[in-house]
Amino acid sequence: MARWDAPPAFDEYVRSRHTDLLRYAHVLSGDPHLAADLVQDALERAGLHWRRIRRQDDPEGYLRRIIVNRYVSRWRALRRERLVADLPEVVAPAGAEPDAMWTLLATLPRQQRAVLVLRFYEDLSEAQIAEVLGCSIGTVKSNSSRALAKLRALSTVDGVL
Amino acid sequence: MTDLEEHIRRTLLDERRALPAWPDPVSRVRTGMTRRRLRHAGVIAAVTVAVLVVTIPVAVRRTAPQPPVGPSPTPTPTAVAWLDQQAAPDQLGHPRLPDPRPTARPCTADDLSPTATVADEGAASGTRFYTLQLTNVSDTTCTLEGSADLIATNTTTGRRGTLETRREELGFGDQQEFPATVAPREVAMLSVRTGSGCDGGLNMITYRNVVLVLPFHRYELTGLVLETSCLVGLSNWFRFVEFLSTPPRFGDLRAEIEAPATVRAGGILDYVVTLRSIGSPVVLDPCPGYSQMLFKSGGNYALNCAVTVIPPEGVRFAIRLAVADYTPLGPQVLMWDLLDDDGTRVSATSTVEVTSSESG
Repeated sequence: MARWDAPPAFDEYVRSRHTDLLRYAHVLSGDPHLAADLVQDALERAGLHWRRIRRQDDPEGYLRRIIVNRYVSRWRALRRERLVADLPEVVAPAGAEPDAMWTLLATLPRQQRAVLVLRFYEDLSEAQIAEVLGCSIGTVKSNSSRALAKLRALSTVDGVL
Repeated sequence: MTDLEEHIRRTLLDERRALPAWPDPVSRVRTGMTRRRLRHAGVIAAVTVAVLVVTIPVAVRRTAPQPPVGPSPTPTPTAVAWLDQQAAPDQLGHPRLPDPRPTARPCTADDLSPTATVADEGAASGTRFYTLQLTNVSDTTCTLEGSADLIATNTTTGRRGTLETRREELGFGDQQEFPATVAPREVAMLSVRTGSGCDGGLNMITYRNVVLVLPFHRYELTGLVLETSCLVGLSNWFRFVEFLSTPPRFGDLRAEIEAPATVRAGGILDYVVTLRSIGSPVVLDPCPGYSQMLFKSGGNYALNCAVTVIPPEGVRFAIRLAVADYTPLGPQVLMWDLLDDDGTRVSATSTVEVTSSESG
């Protein structure tokens, strides 16, 4: 077997973890189509280096770093390969409240949204977020404060809170 | 935590953010991996029909449109039956890599070229890659391990010092071997990445007069200017490894598809692939795999090698594809590829109209 053939353990990982990665990418991007492309891209990259990833790093962290960095960097190929058809959005449960905050999050620039997701969804510290995004802690703080300020202003206007 | 922060957290953790599982995630991912490998090998040009026709010298014939049908037709009895079996890894026609080279004695300054070469590998989406190269000029093999430091001048502040960098996997994917064990006249490489994707790209820093620092020597990287808003990424030293040259087994084969004109989203597409030899009969031994893809449905399968000799008059193979229910309606390109040992493909395509699962 060539050394870059991912072992059967990779298949098991894909089967068991891809839905959580899809959810993470969805929270990050706000777009189910882009989420699917981000996860597909990350898993393909991970599969090609699976042995090394398993040896050197935690696979989940590696994949999530790929996903967030691909999302923030607006990877051109991903954009090119994005689906153009209208795929069915996940249907909200009957009787669910209008998702106003979700809509407001969509107004944030990618970097700011990524910081909020890493902070509130992934529960990472500012230092960890800086490490994941490859930027300084100061940048994380400024993105976070700008994002929160914008959401606070918009949510007050829109009566979300 | 403020009300706003709590609200954000609740919104992000809401169960509605969950997305449906993929029908066959393993095939989906492995098919994509195969495409990447072939792209990396430089033998796949594109996935569009036009480019396939131009770049791959195999017969591509679109069958004449057939009248719309309800259920997908059953292949004719003369076709070799479809085999519902995923392709084994050794059936996927991977380009092969040589065995890893054992490490040798550590390289010294005397072993390496007195100057380092900088190759600009290009940029995409705000990320630019460079490869720093040192040639082994000695008479024996040596190993360059680990990474390096870069010293440079920040043109904004005027400060000069060692750059803060982050270690990354960069470069040439599978064709990298770590550490860089280089024979005489071979090149040890180190990848450098800069990016404008951090901090919104607003605080770009320009570094000039860059020097590559190894424990035993410093190399001025003349003309290299690094512009970045992210930490500069550095790989470890590696050797670029060429794929082994493998003669194609199926160079004389041509493929054609006979497919129905329509298929329902979420339905089964039964079609026939005819393989023909344009020369002497071709023997399918060992038995190869093939890939099939329609939008994002498909995967890599083992060919049914109940018939192992492909004569000029051809052999028909029944093939089956489960079409995902999320496939966009309208014409979609069905792609079928027999995967050869040298990474090339014997390809055929056809266009199939995907119709609503509610129709008919």
